[in-house]
Amino acid sequence: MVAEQVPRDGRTRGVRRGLAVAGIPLLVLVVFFAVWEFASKSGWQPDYILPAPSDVANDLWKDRGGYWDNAQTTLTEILIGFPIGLVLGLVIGGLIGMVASLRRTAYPFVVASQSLPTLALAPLLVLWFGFGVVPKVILVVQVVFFPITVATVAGLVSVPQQALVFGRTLGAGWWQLFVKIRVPASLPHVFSGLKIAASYAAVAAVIAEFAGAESGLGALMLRANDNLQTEAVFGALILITAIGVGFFALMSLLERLIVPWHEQYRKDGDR
Amino acid sequence: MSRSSDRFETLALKGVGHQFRAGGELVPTIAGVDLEVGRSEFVTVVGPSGCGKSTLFNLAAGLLRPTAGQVKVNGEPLEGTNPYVAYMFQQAALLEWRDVLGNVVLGQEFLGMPKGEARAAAMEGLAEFGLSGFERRRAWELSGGMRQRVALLRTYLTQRELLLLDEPFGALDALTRLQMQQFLLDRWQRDQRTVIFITHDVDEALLLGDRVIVLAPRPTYVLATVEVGFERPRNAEEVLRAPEFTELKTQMLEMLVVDSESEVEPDGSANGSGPGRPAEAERSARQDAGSGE
Repeated sequence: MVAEQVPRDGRTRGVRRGLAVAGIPLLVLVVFFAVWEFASKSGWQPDYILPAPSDVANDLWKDRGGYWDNAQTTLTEILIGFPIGLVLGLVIGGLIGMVASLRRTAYPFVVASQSLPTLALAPLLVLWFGFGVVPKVILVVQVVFFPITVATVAGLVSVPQQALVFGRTLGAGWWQLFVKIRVPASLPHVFSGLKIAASYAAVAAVIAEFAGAESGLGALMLRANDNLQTEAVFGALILITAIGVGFFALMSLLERLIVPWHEQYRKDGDR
Repeated sequence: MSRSSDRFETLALKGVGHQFRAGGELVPTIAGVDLEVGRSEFVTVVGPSGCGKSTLFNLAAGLLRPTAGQVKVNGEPLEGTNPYVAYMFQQAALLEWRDVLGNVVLGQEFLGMPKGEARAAAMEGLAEFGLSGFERRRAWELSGGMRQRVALLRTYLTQRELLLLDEPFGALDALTRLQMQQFLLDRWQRDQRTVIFITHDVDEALLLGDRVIVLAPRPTYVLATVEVGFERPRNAEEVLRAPEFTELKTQMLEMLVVDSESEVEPDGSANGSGPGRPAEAERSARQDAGSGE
């Protein structure tokens, strides 16, 4: 056989590019905080309007026990709501993706469920389920399940048809094709849904807390705002953002571990 | 119903027609095809793109039911999927989450072959197909030609006796394609399994086939059957240089060009030509030509 060129992967180039990608946002962030610190300390705005980053950091450290208690509440809501939304999204998306008639009948309702204004729903849920964890979990489920449903449907619909035909002619059963071809082929899609869901989950929990909660970062934010403890508002904001980013990073990590072929395939496409 | 333990003898399409429903309207894809392929034949099928060649394959494989006529295997009407068939496509359809070895054993997995046995056969096949040392590579690390070799090996390893190759080299560059054509000729020579090979490339059809089926535009029917007499084993370069080859090629191109000029029907349903037209329209251009080199 005639030897053929096999493309090599550009790993070193990838690392360098990774540094460039991480370095620029970091630089922007440093400049941003420096300007902010200067604007606040120079007396341009009073503390209760724009506290300096150093004051916010100080407050976060000083009251770390209080922050942690509230963060735990918000995290609990997410950690209960996210898996429920995930399972719901996989099941509903799986059904819609596999059954063509459901795609016409049930899918519109799923889309409609997402057009419900989350913010407007929150007070109603609090009215029905009280100030506890339940309305927050429901709201997290509601925002998490949708992107996962859509991604699962997209994944199942985009399965390589020819691989299925190849299997069918060899007498492969429904389950064999599902496990060996459909599921792995849709996983990259599911993960893009997971990443979107992860970044929404924290926001949903906080919005639900705004509508009425005893504790949680959202509740903390509202109370601090009422008392003009603006540094605590910022403190809570930072923690909420950190939770969102953290979940997103966790999903990205899982994506790399579970569907490594996808990431590499994309890199190959870049060149 | 023929069992897979029996030997494959013949595949026969008798007046096979097919139409599908699109928005309440019946769209004919195959007007009527008569075709018989015997054991160890290498038949190539050419036709304008979109003429329903792949539908024909799906009918032969039993994945689609004809809306007219009959598909017979070993003389019996085909029910369910054709137990002798293995497919290969233009896009190698390799699974990106599996390495080369994993892709190669896929067919055997579907057939329920024990893992060890499948693997042993695969390793032997990889060596034969010039893929040794690439077992752990992923599809995207391979060149187009290697990818097609992996797909071809996967199809061969099913041990099925009727190979349906759907434009398998259609996406390759000219040189790689020539190498793959020679490779397939050589590989075919070894166990002479029955091959039906779809292509839109007249050269390829003549180079590989014992017989070339020329199809009309959609809704399709058999326009002509051309017997290709080049001796086997074939050497691609010799065949391509033979004067008989050029002669056959000219004839076929004329047929295809004339036909596409007179019967262009972009949506395949324009001039009321339903199923039924084919037989009388078929130019019985059975030709014996190009015997020997």
